[in-house]
Amino acid sequence: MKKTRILASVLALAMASSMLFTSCGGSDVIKIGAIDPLTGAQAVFGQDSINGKKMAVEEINAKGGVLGKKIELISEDDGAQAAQAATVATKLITQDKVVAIAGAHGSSSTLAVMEVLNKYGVPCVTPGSSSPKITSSGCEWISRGIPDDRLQSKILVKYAGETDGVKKLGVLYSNDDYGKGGYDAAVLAGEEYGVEIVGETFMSDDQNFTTQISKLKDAGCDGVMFWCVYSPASLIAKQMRDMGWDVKRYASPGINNPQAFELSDGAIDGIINTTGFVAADPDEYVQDWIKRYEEKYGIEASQTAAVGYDSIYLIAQAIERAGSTDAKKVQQEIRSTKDFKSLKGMLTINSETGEYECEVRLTKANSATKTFDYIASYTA
Amino acid sequence: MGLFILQIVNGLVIGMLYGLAALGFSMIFKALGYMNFAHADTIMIGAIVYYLLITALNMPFYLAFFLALILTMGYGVFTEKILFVRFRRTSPITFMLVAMSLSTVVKNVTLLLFGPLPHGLSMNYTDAYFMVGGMKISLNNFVILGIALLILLILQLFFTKTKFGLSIRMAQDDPDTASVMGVNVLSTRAATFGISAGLGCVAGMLMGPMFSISTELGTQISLKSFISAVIGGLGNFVGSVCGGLIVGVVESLGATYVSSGYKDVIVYIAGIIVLGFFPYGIFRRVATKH
Repeated sequence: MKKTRILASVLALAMASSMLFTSCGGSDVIKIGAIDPLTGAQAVFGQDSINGKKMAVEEINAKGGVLGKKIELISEDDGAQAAQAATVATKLITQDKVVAIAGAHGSSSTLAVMEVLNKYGVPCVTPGSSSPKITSSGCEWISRGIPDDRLQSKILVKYAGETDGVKKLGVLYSNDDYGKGGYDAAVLAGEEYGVEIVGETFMSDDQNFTTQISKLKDAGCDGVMFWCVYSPASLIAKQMRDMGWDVKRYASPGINNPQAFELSDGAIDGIINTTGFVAADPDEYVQDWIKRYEEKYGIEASQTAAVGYDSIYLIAQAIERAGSTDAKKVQQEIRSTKDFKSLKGMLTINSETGEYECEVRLTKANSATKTFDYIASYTA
Repeated sequence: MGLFILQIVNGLVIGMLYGLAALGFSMIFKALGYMNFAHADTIMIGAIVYYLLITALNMPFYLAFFLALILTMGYGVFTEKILFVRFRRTSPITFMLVAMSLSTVVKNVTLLLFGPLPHGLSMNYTDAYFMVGGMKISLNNFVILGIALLILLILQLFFTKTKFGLSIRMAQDDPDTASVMGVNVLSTRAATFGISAGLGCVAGMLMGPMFSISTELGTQISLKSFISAVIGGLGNFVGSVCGGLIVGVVESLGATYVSSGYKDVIVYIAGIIVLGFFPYGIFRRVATKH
């Protein structure tokens, strides 16, 4: 009996002291939370993203940190599941007491995290979520570090109409949130820039697009835009070539994957697509980062790694400007970010909505080198 | 007009491939009275083996075609000898569960070995084409139809002209009588699984280069080929191929003249309507419902 009592009190003391130490620890470091899909179907993206974030934290700490304190990155895995994202966000805020969160990656995860942000009032920058819903929700704690689908679709329509003189643009989109979002934006942009839009849709696991292609051809389109991920986009390009239909083609950033060249048997050559980050960007800042990243991790630098890296700098600079870790002040500073030097160009955050405002880059698929070559930067 | 003809051709080509896969389904059903839900895997295995032989071993396509066919047929026989033969006296539900479990295992093992990325196999039998009403129709489509028809012809000759083919048919119709008459029912069962797998393999090999090759290839067409088999009348071989052609053409024309987003909805609704009028399938005369 006595033994158990002693054991219990020792345990209680241990727990109390550990709690004491964690709360003490908070004062000489600034904690930033990271939410990424480290496991599950999107693990590839999650790993890239956390690599970028860790690299940014190490660099900032090496230069003396923020407000004279080191940054501590607390990484959590959401498994690309919205419910898990909300759980880990709650954990980061209530137990780890993070100052801000960089995450999540998938749009549905981020939307779930936003519910938690509204409850506790903690600033958050999502590096990877491009759904229009995120900034149109009215949530005051979220900001975005990646161009949204509407902006990219709009810019492609503008480019097709103004630069290539396309009068009637066929839009082939997957029948899901991603595809429909791109199509809706294209319709709006079509009205603005005087381009007639003809839509055709397909199920996301379809492989035969000859019907849709024939219909667009029959409708007299002089350009086609694909709004889907790279596997259907490659097959569409291949089937268009097999059907002998040669028109100007445009694609969502979804096509930006080296695998697309193999899948389409090179048929995506010459397709123009939008992207945030271009590895071939001649900018010295970008090239230097790519070199450091590839030396550190031994893998190719991707857009996901770049946006992860940027998100940490965005938060760190906002904390520095705010001069404190007060949530409201930090959030105000994140939203008043202007001409921030990011890996995607000079970035500005819309102070009302937290929307990403930056130039969008256009690249052109080159099947000889299997790369997406940089053409130009555009603003809407 | 050009669009209509092009869509008919597209529908026939894809329908023929549904038909080949459906025939495999139907054959097992006739021999065993069970649905083999692991059949769709042979489509994927066929396409992946074919792809690997061509790209990794630099084999010419006709050699790869035969080797992949033999390997996949071997796989079909193997599943019967190792697994299905042990469940020949169970209830259809048990058999179905065994088949579904096998399918999941095979698909996931393939996923681990082959990887999740889809691959493209660039291979056209011919670059020739002709123009109809401003639409380019590739002769490639007709080569694919030709290969499928040739396979069906060989199968027909095998079943009507060879002793083994005849004994397989006999065992399929009535295994008990066949076994009394000296037919080795176990070996005809294995042969049925082999031929069924071979049909899936051919469908996969013809389809792979048209689309992309991944572990999802079988899943995408399994439901359609299942519908084809049911519409044609399960167990009816001519019906299965015709069912496939009907599904292919309905899908293609429905997508063109109704809505491409509702392509699958149209196919399944048409299937339900057909079964409403012909509960035994269009081509089936036997008085047993599915």
